[in-house]
Amino acid sequence: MLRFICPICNLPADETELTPGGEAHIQRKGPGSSDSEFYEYLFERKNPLGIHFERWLHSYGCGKWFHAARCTKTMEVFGTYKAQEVKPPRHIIDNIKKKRPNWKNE
Amino acid sequence: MIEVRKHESKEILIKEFEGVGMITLRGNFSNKSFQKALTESCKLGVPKPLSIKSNKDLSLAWMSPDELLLIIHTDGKTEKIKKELGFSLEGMHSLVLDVSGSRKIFMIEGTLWRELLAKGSPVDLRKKSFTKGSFLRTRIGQVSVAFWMVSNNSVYVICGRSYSSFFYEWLCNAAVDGSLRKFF
Repeated sequence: MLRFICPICNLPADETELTPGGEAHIQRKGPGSSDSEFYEYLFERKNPLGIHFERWLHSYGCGKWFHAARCTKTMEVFGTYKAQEVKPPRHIIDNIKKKRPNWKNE
Repeated sequence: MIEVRKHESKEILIKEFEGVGMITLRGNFSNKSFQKALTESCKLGVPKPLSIKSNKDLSLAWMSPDELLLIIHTDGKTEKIKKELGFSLEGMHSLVLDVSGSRKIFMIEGTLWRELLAKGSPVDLRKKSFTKGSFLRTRIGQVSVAFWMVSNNSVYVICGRSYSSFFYEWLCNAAVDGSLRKFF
């Protein structure tokens, strides 16, 4: 089972207590963008077999959104961080690189 | 606080109450005036995350980084406290909302309450992790709840009013004689 430590209440929360929010760090493309950019923003999502950054909602706990880095293949969790971060913080990247030296952040 | 119904099994006593005063409070906890308003109207400070503070009449529980739940144990005081809080928080970005009517409260008594709750809840209920003063929001039997200890042998569980009859039946079923074994 997938278990995250909620970065807001510091409580371990399992998958059934959380609501998935899909891919993290998606930048909005609104008015002024091209059709293809808007299409990409709306529909194109990464679906890697490996390291993925995701949004999760602690719906049965504090009710707040947060970010998580995990491996979709092994369910290994590399860490969770606040929803306000616009990109994965340094310590999360370092943690992933330590465990998966061949991984490249796209 | 009016007792609606109760269920007694060999090990567990379950009581359902309604009419318990509850006020949802939202605001910036680090704001000095918010803290002052709380201490003036409730005589209680902001509780630490995942905890509850109580005095004779009131309990103040941490719900999320910007939300508190005030539980009024004395009947007929909710309106007064709500007004007081409303006055002292005026002009501040905050919320004071009476949610008494939308909640029910259950009291579970008996030495095996941890085992009972653990049947349907994913949280760590070991004696060293969940202690007196802890306050947790989670789910029990798919119902979102919050609970805290009253004494070593009793616990209060809050749930939404619309789920309360399902939850009551779930608890009674989980407390069937002989189905609980000492674990914690």
